[in-house]
Amino acid sequence: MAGSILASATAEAGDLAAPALDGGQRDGVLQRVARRPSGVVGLLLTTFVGVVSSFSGWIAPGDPFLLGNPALLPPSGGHRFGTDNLGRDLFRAVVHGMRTSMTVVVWVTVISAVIGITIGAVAGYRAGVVDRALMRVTELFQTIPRFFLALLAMSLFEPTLRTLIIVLGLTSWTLLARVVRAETLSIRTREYVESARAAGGNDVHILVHHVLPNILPTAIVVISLGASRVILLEAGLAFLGLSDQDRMSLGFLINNAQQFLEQAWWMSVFPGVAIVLAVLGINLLADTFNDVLNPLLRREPAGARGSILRMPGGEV
Amino acid sequence: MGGEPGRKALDAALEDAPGARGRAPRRRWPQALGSYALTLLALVTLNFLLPRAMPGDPIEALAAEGSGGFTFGEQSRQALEEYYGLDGSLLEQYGSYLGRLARGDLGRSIATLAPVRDEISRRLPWTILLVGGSLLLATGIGLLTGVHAGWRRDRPLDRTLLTVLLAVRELPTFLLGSLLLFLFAVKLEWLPLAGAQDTFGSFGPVGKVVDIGRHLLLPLVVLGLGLAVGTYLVMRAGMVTQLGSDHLLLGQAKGLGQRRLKYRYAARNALLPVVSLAALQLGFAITGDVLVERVFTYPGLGRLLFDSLTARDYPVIQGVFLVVSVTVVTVNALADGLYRRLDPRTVA
Repeated sequence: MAGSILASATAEAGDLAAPALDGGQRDGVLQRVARRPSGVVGLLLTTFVGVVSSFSGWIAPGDPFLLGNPALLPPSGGHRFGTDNLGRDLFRAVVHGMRTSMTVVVWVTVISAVIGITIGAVAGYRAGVVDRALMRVTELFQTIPRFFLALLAMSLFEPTLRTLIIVLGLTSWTLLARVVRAETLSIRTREYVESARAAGGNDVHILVHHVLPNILPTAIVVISLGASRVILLEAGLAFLGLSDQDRMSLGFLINNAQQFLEQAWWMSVFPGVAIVLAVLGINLLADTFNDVLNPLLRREPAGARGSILRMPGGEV
Repeated sequence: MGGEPGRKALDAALEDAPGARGRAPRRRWPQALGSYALTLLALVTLNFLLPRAMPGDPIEALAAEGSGGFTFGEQSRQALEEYYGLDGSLLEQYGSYLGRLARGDLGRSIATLAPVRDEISRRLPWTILLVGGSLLLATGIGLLTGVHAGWRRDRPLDRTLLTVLLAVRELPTFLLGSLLLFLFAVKLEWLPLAGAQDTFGSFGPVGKVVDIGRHLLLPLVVLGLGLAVGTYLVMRAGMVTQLGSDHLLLGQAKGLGQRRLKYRYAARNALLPVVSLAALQLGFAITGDVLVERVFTYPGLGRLLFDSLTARDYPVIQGVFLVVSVTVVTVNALADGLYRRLDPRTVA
């Protein structure tokens, strides 16, 4: 089922791999994503959150923990999102909180993508003993409750962003590895892989140039489906007080806001909206990726696709 | 709460599983048991190694936590090391750790000095009530709505359900909890603000149940709603897949009634993934439980965990981690076995 999506990309690279399975669709992935309403909204939201977090220091300069304003000020011209119980400017806090969320998501995604794709591709390509061993390891990691492990690590070690990223990165690759393995297993016996091997290509070359491009579409779907959950995990841990003391976090803000629900709605509403926007954006994008890149599920209405991969709402 | 169609279908699936007593499943389960044992060992080892990988000296850290600047004499230091099982080589420590674990000894809480096992078992009933209840609620709601929505795919009901439930999915549990708490407990004052029961009220047995129920309602709904979305989507997808299947067409051609087709033919076949989903959801439910208990100040394991995090009570944190992860792994292994019995195709 892979193949079609990167056909244009690989064709450009002058590679004969990746035959287009459902011919005619030669548009890029982004173009096809942008043709769907949910894709447009998802792209816009994700871009928005990405831009805000990238330029947080420019949009809301200063230390987000800075005290000194009057406490519990409602939103106004001076403080667009109001201030909290300690007189922190909430606009600045939310912007920097978004940055923290995105930092964690990006790093965890990169780490887990590298591990997951490597393990999955090697297991699927090598098959046999290597496959069984790697899949056993994957199973092992899969059963460890991620949230609790992160919680344990954050309480035992220094609760820094790095600790969080390492723990989540090391435990978030299992589904990806399994999916990539399955894809690789089906690809390794295809003719173009055989012919590459016959032509004298070594394993690394074949993996990188022939297998990888073809598993990438599916991998992108799985990776994007997992990303929003990382936001929720980070926020959930911060909600319990387990966050980097030097980094503002949306979960921390919502936890802090809980005692002031009646006096200061803005304390929970703005951080809450920020989380929902980030999660919604990534989820919509993931759904659309799934839609565009996963032709088997194309006939299902948006949102219902990839449900098993997504395990909605559940984790946090 | 299971819902009539859900139960019927589950019963049917259970008694009608071909190969349930056949020869094939036998071949596979020793292997599954082996991998389960390996996972358990890995979890236990992880729990043993993590605190020992902590930077610095745990005894010094302990001293710093309690009474800053306090230093130990050599004798009290040795006593403490022995007390926390930190004496001897790593291998010896591991051995004695496993030994204590086998006796159900999880160490003592630093904050209360009570055995961790007692602390946990005191809180466990509330968590079982909340997590178990929300899983039941979620499976019930999810099955009912999923079966109907999938059967009447793309009709207004399906569209509405899909939109509502997908919107619920985007809300983090603790945010939804905060909102509902504010609405029903603070603004409307219909439901209690916190806790699991009214400490000061004196009720009869019925009054007590009602009181506990009133406290349970909001956390249960918040936790259950998030989980229900998963069951709903899986069940709906299953029903949709069934819609075009040959056996359904045959049933229709034979002139079977809609109800029979829907429940006995379609729902029953679509039910299988829900079994493994329910087990997976236990993990999510416990994670959600920790956050929900924090929102509603519910006195279960999550609350214990939160309190120990605040007090840096490592033995308790570790104990909760171990109990939770072992439970999740065990239930998943059981569900795996059940699934294998339900679906002969999984036996290669």
